[in-house]
Amino acid sequence: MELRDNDETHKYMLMRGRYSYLRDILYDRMTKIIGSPNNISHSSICAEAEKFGPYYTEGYWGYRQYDVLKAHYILLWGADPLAANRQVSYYSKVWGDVVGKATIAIVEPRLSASAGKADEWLPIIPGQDGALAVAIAHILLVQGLWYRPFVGDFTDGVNRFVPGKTVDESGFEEIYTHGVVRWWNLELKDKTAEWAADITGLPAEQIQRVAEGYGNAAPHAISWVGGGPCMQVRGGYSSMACHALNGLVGAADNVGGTLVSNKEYTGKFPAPDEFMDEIAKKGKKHEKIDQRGRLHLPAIKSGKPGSGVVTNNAADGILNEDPYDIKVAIGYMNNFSFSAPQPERWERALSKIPFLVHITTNASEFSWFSDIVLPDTHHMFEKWGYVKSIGNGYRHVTLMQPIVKNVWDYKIDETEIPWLIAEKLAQKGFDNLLRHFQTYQDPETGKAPADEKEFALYALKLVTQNLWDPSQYKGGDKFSGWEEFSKIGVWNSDPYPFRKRWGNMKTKTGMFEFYSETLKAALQSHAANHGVTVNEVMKATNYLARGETAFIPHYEEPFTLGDEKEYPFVHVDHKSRLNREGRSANCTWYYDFKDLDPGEELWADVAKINPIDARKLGIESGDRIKITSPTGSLICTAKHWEGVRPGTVAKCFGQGHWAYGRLASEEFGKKPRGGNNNDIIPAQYEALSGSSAYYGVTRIKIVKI
Amino acid sequence: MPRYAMVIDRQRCVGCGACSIACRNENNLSEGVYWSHKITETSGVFPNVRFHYLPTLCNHCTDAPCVRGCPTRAMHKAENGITMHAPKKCIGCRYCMINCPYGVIYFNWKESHQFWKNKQVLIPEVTSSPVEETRKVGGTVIPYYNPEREATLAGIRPKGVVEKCTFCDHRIENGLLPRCVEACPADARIFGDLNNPQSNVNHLLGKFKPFRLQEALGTDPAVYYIRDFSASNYPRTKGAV
Amino acid sequence: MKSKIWFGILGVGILLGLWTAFRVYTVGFSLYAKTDVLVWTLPLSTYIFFSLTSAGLAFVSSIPVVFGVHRYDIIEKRTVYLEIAVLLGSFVCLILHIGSPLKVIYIFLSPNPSSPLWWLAMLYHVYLVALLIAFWRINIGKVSKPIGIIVFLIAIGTSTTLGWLMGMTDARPSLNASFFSVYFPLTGFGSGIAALLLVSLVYEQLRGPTGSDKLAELYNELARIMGMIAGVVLILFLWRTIVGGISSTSEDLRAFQHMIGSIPYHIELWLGLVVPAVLMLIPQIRKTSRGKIAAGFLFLLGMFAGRLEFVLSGVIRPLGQMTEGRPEFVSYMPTAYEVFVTLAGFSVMLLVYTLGERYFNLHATPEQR
Repeated sequence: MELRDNDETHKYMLMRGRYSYLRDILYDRMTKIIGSPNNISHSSICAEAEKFGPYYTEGYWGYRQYDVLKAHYILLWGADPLAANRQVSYYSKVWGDVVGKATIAIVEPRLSASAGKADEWLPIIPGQDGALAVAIAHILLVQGLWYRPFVGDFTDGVNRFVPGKTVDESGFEEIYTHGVVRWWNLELKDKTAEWAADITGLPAEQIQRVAEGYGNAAPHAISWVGGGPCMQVRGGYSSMACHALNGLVGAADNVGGTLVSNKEYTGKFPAPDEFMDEIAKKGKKHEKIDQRGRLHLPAIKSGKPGSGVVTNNAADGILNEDPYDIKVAIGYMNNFSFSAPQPERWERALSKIPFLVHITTNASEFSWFSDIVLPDTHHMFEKWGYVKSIGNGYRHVTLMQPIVKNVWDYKIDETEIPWLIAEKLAQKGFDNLLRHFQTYQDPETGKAPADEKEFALYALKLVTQNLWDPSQYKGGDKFSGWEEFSKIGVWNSDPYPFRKRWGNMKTKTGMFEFYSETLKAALQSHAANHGVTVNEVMKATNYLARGETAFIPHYEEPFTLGDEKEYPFVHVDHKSRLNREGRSANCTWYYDFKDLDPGEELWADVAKINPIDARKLGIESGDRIKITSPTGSLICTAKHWEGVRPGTVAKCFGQGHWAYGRLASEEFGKKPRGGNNNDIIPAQYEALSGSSAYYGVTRIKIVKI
Repeated sequence: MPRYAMVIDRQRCVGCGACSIACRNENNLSEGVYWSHKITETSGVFPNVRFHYLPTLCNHCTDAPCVRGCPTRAMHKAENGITMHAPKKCIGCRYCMINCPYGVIYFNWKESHQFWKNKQVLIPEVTSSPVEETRKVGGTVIPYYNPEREATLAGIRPKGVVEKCTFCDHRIENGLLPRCVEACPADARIFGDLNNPQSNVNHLLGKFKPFRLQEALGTDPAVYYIRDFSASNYPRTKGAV
Repeated sequence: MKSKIWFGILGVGILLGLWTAFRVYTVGFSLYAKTDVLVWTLPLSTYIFFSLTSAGLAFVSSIPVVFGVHRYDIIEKRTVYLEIAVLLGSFVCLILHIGSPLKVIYIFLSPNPSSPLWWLAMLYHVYLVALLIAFWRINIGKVSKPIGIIVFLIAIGTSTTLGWLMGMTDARPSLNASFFSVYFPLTGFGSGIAALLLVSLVYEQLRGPTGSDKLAELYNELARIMGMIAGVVLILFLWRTIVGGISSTSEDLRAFQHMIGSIPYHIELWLGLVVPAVLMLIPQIRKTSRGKIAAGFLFLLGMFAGRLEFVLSGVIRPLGQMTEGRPEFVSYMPTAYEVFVTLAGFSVMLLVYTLGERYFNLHATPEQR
């Protein structure tokens, strides 16, 4: 209320972590009606750069699904579907059949769970994925392996893609793609296997073999882009290059290829506009605290500059009071002071916020700095909500329902808490939020919610009405009503409509763009916002591309912090199959089964070092070591392992909590258990998407202690 | 009488450990006790390296050395072929552990679930102690206690005795599959009756050349493995001199 | 005064044992080396040491009773009594080794004759009863030959069954081979003689000579036998090393191969076998009390170490799924509680024996019937 009196509602901030799709009540509607632009999600410390490539080639901003059972070749880029991707359970279920039918090649600097069952392991030098991708594209074109029904062909049928030679664009007739010849001329023509071999540290024969195998499998050849090549400082174009291979072989939207998500028909919450008063409207117009949209941080999600979040930069925004200071903040199911690179900045930023609230299941590193900690419900057993997922050509909308009685007094993060806040605000004279929430009526009875419990249920029924109400039926599974839907608990979409998007993609041209008109427009619009050229945008965002190259998938030399002499190793961060969406670090089984991750050890946090490197340093398995990067250090245990590339050190993310619970930390609030990778990962960004860079971003040194 | 057996398809197995985690919940196992477990190996030298995963559990041997050596018949064969253990007769001599070639028997060196015996509150007046949490949710020793285990065995085995996998005999009795089989997302575990020629296990045993662990010891295990964890193909070659 | 100190020391040993018993039955066996790989450790090896020593003493006591070599009559009473003391020591260690000693009743309620351990347990029960009767008879001056035969047979039974117990574990050939059914009784025999010589001669050193020349002569004879046994055992020991340790390529024997070169291995080889054999080969040394004491002590020390080496060679290499996350060989260092068990075993044995010396006139020669 004080913020409102002072016209400072923009100094309220909401930080979101793990969510259900009832998120918009707390995240969007409440923030807007209070009058703040600052709803900051965790997305960009998650995966945004991975979505960058698919968007600027085929106009899809989201996770893909893969038709693995019908694929003949699966090329995985830093993706580990058996351990750390969406739909782990589905891929786990079918992978034994997939490996029997398809050739599987995996590009990843350390031997991942999926690499353990792969035909080809390509242990690439971190950050060089783009080089391999363009070399594969080069080989596909030179060998004539592109998929003609999708890409088209030379008008006379003669393949003019000869290494080193430019090709006349008019001689090639494209069907569902755009700019393949221009891509060749601008980027691919010299990118031979031999060229890539030097850069990637992989044998030219292996590159050739993989490219040919992949091309021969067209169109049932998946190029599966994970976070690895993308969540890097210059990863945006690797994301494009890796994903563009799907275009060359016609796997995009095709049987045995890479698919987008099926349609689902959940609805939206009532619009907030009429409940936003003048103060709120004014407040919302302020610049966001994460500084998105500035010249060096375009964060162009879905083609709109400044529409993506730059989660990790919010800490700097708060610290420098740039654009302004934050006075009140709520965080829910997030732990940025652990999970974001250089978390020490978050510690300072959170300490600076005069009134900070945390809604959480665990007493985390974020809670540590909070004035009020509100215990949260367990999402699987105590919460109303729904989530969406894709796999096997279907989309699922799954309900989360309270099935056990609350053991203590706590409330649901996304529904009950905002309702109770709205009630309190109404008591203090600001009832807009409560009035807005009262419009969330039960679709069956038309009754307005009277308390937080009814509100949670009605909100869910309201947005899922199209799925369960027979009179609103739009597709997929059909239910007789809410009762049946809530009993079954999941709605499945119609089967995937293959090739429906061919020629009809949400790009500027409608085609699969090898020369991205979509990116060109986005970059030009960002440049225009700041009155500069695209080249200046490239420079400001730390990219090397100039001119036309900025609009095509291309190779960029990786940007890695640290001098090679002082920091001899490149850090390889990876995720644990036991972490998934987090919150396992305080469970005994996490440590008792830690070695389910290849190369890991029970009840230890190990840095995996190739024995050749370890011997040079005189480090044995089991030694305590200190890993230092230019921005921080951590202490963990050394482990000799053959599954890691010499010159790199792989360490799994997940341990190193100094809070989070009696088990997660060795001594709660004092001593961490293991080391947090984020302590050595610098806060760097793939600026075009706003993503935090995790991979190939820093060099490190190791000292035995 | 059925003779229960399990076939583990290593190609289907993805090494996720869901079997072991499910087993732990089903049987109220303490930390460090793995009725369902694995043997892993990283083979080769960079860059020719692979990771191999072999799920393991009690083999329910027909000629079980643990049963032979047990002085009190605490470890014994049930009629359906399951190697069972009766903690009340177990004197804790651990001879079965010496006799078992597979390392699947565990001794309760101390009371199980020490973590949950803790009465200390981490953040006073905010969080609860493990003991209080267990009490509040109506658990026994552990909050996620599974009382169904008590049907044929102590729900949590006391200290001073051994314990091991029972093929979830308490579930089989009720027509349910062992928990690890049900939990396996990859359907890599196939359970059934060797005495029924039409059982799924017999289908698979007829189709593949199975192997069992330490067959040379003549224990006649009832856990069979088919196919290979890595189904890797490789460039055709005759090698070279 | 001296005896007060002595009883004080033994009392402390027994108290440590009681403390250990209290702790392991309240806290748990995690006070021991506490892994599922190191299943059997020092308490068990000490039990084996005592058990075989008592069997060896039974062999000595059988010489006059069973085989009628009457010049041994003069040591009969002490031998049988010492046997009881050593056996009680072994029980202390065994009880503190097993997890649920109260359930031993199930050995009767739910017998399993296919288990060597069951046989061993049965034999021990009869053994203790037979020994007590034997000693009671001797104490009233009348040796019973039938009881003597029973004791002799049981001693053969226990020492060879121990070999069976180990040899049955096909998965651990380091413990294996019927070899131990030979090695155990033989080394046990040596241990028995060594123990007898040690306590008798130490007693004489403290109290002055109690016996006649005949007795001294007998001690020399026993010392000579002990030396011979040390020599024979040395040969068997070396062959065990060569066959199982050097010429074998079997992976399963690597645990034993790993133990070759360990401290207990060398103690057994050099101090326990080579030195006593050499000492007893030299008549000047053999004939002195101190020489016999030294050789007896070293032989026992060697056997004590050897039993530990033997048990460890069976367990240090994890099998099957126990290999996960562990090195090929796990290292072992006894915990304080394990040492307490051993000390308690020795204290009980020595206390029982000392009381016997004090109250039962152990140098008396029973009448042979």
